[in-house]
Order: sequence, then structure tokens, then C-alpha cells
Amino acid sequence: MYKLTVLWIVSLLLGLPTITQADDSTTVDETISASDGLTKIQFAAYVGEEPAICGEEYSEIGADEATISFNDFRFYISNVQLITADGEAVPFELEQDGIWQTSNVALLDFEDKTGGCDEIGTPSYNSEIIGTAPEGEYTGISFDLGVPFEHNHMDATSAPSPLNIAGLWWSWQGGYKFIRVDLMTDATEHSAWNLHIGSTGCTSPASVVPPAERCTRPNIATIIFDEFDLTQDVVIADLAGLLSGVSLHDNTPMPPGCMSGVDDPDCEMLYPGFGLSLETGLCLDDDCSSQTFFRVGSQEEAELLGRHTDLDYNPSESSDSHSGH
Amino acid sequence: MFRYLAVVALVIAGLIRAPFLSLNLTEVPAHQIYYDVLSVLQLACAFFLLIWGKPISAYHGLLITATSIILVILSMLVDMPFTNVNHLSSTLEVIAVVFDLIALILLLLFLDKTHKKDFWSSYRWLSLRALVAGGLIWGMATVIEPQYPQLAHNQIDQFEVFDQIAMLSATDYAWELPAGFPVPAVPEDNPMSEAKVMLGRYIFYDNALSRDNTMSCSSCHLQPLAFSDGIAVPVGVTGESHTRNSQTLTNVAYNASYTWGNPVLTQIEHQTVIPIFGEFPVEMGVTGHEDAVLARFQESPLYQQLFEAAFPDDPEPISFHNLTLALSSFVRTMISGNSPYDQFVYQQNYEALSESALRGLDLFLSEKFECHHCHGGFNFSASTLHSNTTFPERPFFNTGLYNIGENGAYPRGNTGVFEVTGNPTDMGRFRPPTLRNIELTAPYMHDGSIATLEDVILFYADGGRLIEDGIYAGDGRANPNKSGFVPGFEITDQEMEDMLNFLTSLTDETFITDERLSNPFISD
Repeated sequence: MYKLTVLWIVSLLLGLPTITQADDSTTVDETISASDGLTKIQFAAYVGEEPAICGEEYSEIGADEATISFNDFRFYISNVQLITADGEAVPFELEQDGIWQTSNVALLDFEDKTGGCDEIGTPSYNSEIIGTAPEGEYTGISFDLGVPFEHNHMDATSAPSPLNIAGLWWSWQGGYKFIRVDLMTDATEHSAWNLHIGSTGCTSPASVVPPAERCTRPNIATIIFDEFDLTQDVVIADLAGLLSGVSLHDNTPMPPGCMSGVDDPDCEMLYPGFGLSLETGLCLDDDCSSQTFFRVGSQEEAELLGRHTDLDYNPSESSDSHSGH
Repeated sequence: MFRYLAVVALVIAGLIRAPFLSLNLTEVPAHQIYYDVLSVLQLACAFFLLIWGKPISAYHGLLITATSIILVILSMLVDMPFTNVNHLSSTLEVIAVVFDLIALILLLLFLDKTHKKDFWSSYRWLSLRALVAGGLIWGMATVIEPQYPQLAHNQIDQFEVFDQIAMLSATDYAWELPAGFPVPAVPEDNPMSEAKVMLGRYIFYDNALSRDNTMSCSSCHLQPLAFSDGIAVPVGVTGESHTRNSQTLTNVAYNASYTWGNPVLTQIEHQTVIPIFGEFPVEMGVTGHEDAVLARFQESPLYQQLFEAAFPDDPEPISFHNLTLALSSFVRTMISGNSPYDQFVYQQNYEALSESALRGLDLFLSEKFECHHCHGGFNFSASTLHSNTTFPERPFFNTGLYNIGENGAYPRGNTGVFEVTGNPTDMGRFRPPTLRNIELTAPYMHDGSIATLEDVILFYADGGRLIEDGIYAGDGRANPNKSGFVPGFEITDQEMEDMLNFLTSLTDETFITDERLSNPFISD
């Protein structure tokens, strides 16, 4: 546990611009010292109009109005860009914190190993990304739901955090699970409904060898919001929206739910929620704009969630104790 | 009359010691060999005494039987190599010795009554012959099985060992990790050192670490079985059975939690004390005998050297605290990463896996069989932690092994994480063990209740276990706490063969023969 504590303290220090660190992470130092413009983009997890909390039950979800709870809710985003009024996309440079963000990939983690997430989850929680962009007026935002090919086929054992989580990794060939949401539904049979989306059609001599060429179906959704106020808005990931076209009671086993299988009826119902074509693994209509997973929300909605970024979330502690960052 | 009663007593004593019956001195194989020979001779004497009734059979029976009594007396009086064996700790052995005594008296009475003259005139040369025979048996055992610990105790060259100890570093340790393996996370208060690892190795193999000198860590963690023991549940020094199967020690340095179902037990240092001091059940049974057990180490010149080398700054280095630290350091070095799978994946030896094993690997990683959700990653366990871990994952799963009374219950006293948390949803949740060396660690599951790998795969194909009758009756497939990743699947014969070929490709021959992990009391 000491390691967690150290990381937690380091993450606190990183959040305090005035403190110079004595360790060897010089790149981080530079980012911080030059970073009065360090910007935070807030995310929040919802199921419809209700905050998404591990183990809570949500009714009337999906095409056949199932009752669900979730055991896991984590996803990677990458390639975050801010959009100017003229429509120009400017890369949002992620802070390299050694924990939640590496290169241009960040992990958002909406489970905290409480409630129903106690089987497979981790005690950590993350609902924000932190980085920098050149001074400017930005009116929109875009990001990819997934891990880009260049980082998608590493060895999760040695890869930098957050690409080092075995539970979010298939194999060298298959790469990462871009999003992992494990649901329990009120179906009488096959009540587990697991959603693991990643690239498919990745070919290499064996599953333990990374592919040399891009996977035929990347399954990376590009999410664009033309109107997004960095200072006030939050990005809301809404499970009810994502599952709106899915008949959760008609769960076809092997596997239960959708694990990106190109011939899985569960995936056929689910993919439009990401704005993706199951057949091609690419955006429908070239821009995934038909997706129903993400929407723009307000700071109030993020506050309602009652959860904050924390490496070792403990529900018995007051949230005030972590307000330092 | 005495003749026939003596035959009966000899047969009983001989049968109890017979190798095909249950008196097993596996811990002291040299004594086992001696007993094997003894039982054959006792039975042979009984046979000839019955058929011919000649005094020569009775003389031999007398002397052979007397040697067992001598062995018991020696084990109580003489130090090495006898004191590590308490020949009166098992009821069966006590019975055998009692019948030895009865046979002795009856044989003496028989001889005294019927062949008084022959007996006294033949006594001298017969006893000499018996002594020579006993010596030959012991010598033969030493030659045939020189690695047996009870013989080996005599063979360590202590001066050579002391020289080696003097060369060990008290601060440094160089991991020799397999390709692709991360550095284990080692707690700050017990850094690795060469001297600690060496000390831990001696302790691991020493029966002195049990109440009655009969068990060591290696009693339940045998290197040829990847440090498991091949039986459903082990038995402690008092004869009490454990409820849990002895786990492999393969790669425990990477465990995110220890034992079968304890989410708060996250360091080897906290685990090692359990088998030593545990009372529910009693394993090595040291509780209540701490001073006597520790004295064995304090009085040993070997351990004085070892503890001083490992803990040079400690004025009283020989303590249980330091003992468990060293044991933990040694166990951390049990790293297995040279299986055919590793040779294929990390050493680019593309001949190492057969086509069938590769198909099995694909099935293993598939979303059809779902194996990898709980047994994923380089160590084939979702409950894995190392120095590059930022988000420790410590999952526990209910696999539907039981569902007693159809309300989710597991056998009393063996309920997994529930025992620790009391949380009803934790009923039947256990840690997913590594699958490395899984071929060697049968029987399987937390209670050793599934005998073969094939049966384990069939169990997962069924999505749980239906127990139709008996006290554990219930349909595990419908256990309300069962993990969503155990829904069941269909498997063809070919797929079964491929899966088994993949799983056996995780067997690491270098690990089970690695001399650095072997019994140090045995000279090469």
C-alpha cells in the first residue's frame, strides 16, 4: 500500500504549481512551471438523469426497459483537441502524470471498487483530464474513445500507466479494451451483460504477437462537441444513452453482452450508441455524430455525482480532504 | 501357542509398516525405506515361523523386530539424524511398536520354552549378523536415495557452507528475471538481500520450524510439484486437516493478495506467519512452543552464522520476526518464467508451442471461453501486482463451485472472502490463482475438490457444479454470487485437447529443477 500512498502524494504535489519536485521527472517540472495555463477538462458518469454509482439499480434502460446495475465502468480517451471559433483543431497536450495519462491517452475510471464493483474493480476513481493548449479562445472539443494503434499493442505488464492495467487488456494482438462496462441486468437468464470494446481484425502470427499493420476494424469513435465551454461544461458519459437501442433481456451468450464480436447480435444493437458501424469499425456517416453515449452537461451535474479523482477512493472519507487538487 | 501368537503380532506390525499401507513417513524417506525393508522381513519371518516353526525363523524375527525398537529409542536420544523424526507421533506407529514388543516377548517365550539350548548357543553370531544387515540396509538407502533429508543432514560440509555464507551480501540482491517479467514490488521494510534469501532457503526446508520436528514449509510445498503438494488438503502436525488446498508458490512475488480468499492480506511477510503459528487449523503448530522452536535455531551454529549474515545490525538476530522476513525473501525468488509459452512469447522461439497449443492459447484469450478475465496478464492471474502497477487489482470470484441449499452458501468454514468481510456478496469468492505450472498442481480449486485439469475445464464449460446429493447438495451453476464471467460454454473434443496442450505449455521445467530453490541440506 505504501506505493499507492506515494503515488497519491505525488499526484497531490503535481497539482500544486508552486511546489518544485526534487525527483527526476524534469519534463513534469517544466510542464508545471510553465503551466499557469494548466487546464482541467471535467467528465462525469451518468445513467440517464441519475449519477452513475457502482451497485445502484437503474430502471427502464434500453429498448426493452431493463433494470441494470454496473460492476465496472472505465474507458480510455485519446487525441483530445480543442476547437477554435474558426473550426481549427488544436491538440490538448496531456500532462504526463505517470498515473492517469501517458502520451495522448488518458483513462477515465468511474468505478471505485465499492458496491457492485467490488469483484473486479480498483479503488481508484478519475473523472478529469489535465493538460495544456496554446492561449486562445476555444468553443468546442473533440476526442477519441479508444487507444490509438501506436499505443494499442504494447505489453500491459511493462507499458506506462494507465496502459498497464491487465483488466483492460486482451493480448498483444487484440490490444486494450477501450471501454469496459460490466452490467448486471434483471434478465432471468444470462443476467451478466458485459461490454468490452476494442479493435478487431488485428492480424499477426499469434495472439501473443503485436500486429504490424492496423486492425481492419479500429472501433475507435471520434466524439465532437462544437459548443463546449471549458470553464463551465463537463462531458457526460451516459450509459442509458449508450444502451438506448439495446434489448438487454435478449442477451446472447458466448459471450454475454458485447465484446466487439463482428457477428454478435448484442453488438449490432449496441454499436450505433457509439456512432460506429459494427461491420467496418469506423464512424457511421464519417463523424460518429449519431452517437448517444456522450453529451455536454453542467458543473452542477458533475457535483451531483459526489465523486472526485482519487487514487484510493474511500467512501467513508469526506470529499473535502481531497480538495487540495 | 506362543509361536502362532508371535506370527500374528509380527504380521500386524509388518502390515502396518508395509509400503502399500498407510503409514507414510514421506517427510523422512530414509526411515521410510528402513520401514519398507523391515516390514518385508517381519512378514517373511512370520511366514517361515508359521510354515516351519524352526528357531532360526524366530531368531531372525526377534532381531529384526528389535531394530525397530532401537530406532525408536535412538530417535528419542540421539541428535542428528534421528531427532527430526518422532516415531511415536502417529497412532499407527505406536500400534506397530506395541506389536513389536508383544512379538518380542512371544518370540522369546517360544524360544525359551522349545529351543532353550539352541537359542543361547546361537545368540552371538546371530546378533552380529543382524548388526551387519542393519548397517547394509542403511548404507544401501544412502546410496540409492542420497537426496533424502534425513541422510543428507550428515552430509553437509558445515565449513564449506560457512564459507559461502561469509560471501553473501547483507544488502544487495540481483534479480535474474525471465525475459518480459517486471520487477516484483518488494516492501520497503524487507528489502531483498542474498543473505536473507539463503537463510530463508534453509528455514523453508527445515523441520525444526514445527512443534514436533515433523514438518517444514516444504512438506506442503514440494519443488517437483511447483511447490504444491498433490493432495486435496494438507494435514498439520496435530493431524488436523486444513480446509484449503496447498497453493503453488509459483510467482508469489507478484501476488496482489495472499492465501485463497483474504483481500487485506497483501504481503508475503504477513502470510508466512499463518502456517507457522496458525491454530485454526493447526499447521506447523508453533504457537505455545515458541521458545522451544526458536531455541533449535539459536543453538545451531549454522543458523547463528546465517542469521548474523542476514541481519548484521541486529544484536539478537535469531527471532521469529527475522525468520519470517528471510522466509518471505526466499519465497519471493520462486519465479517461474521459462515455460514453452515464455520461450514462444518472450524469447521468440516460435518452435516452442505446438499448433494445438497455439489454438488453445487463442481459445484461452477468446471471448467464448472467458478464461482471461480472471487469469489474464503475464502471470495468468488478474490478482497480480508488480513494481509497474499503479492500480492494484485484487479481484475475488465466485465460480459456482457450491450452492448449498440453493441460497448461495459454501461449506461452513470455507466461504472465501466472506470469512473476512462478512459481506453476503463475498460468499464463495476466492482469489484466481496463477495458471503457471498448473499441470503440476492438481488437485484443483480452493478445497482440492476437482481432480484433473480436464474436469476443471468441463466445470467451467458447465458454468458451475451441480452436486446432486449429500451435505453439499445444490446447483452451483445457479449460485446468486457467481461471477458474470462463468456463464458456461460449449467445447468440442478438439478444443479440449487444444486447451490442455496450451495449459501444459505453462509448465516450467527449469523452475522445478532450479538448484537455487532446492533443499540446501542436500549436498550435490
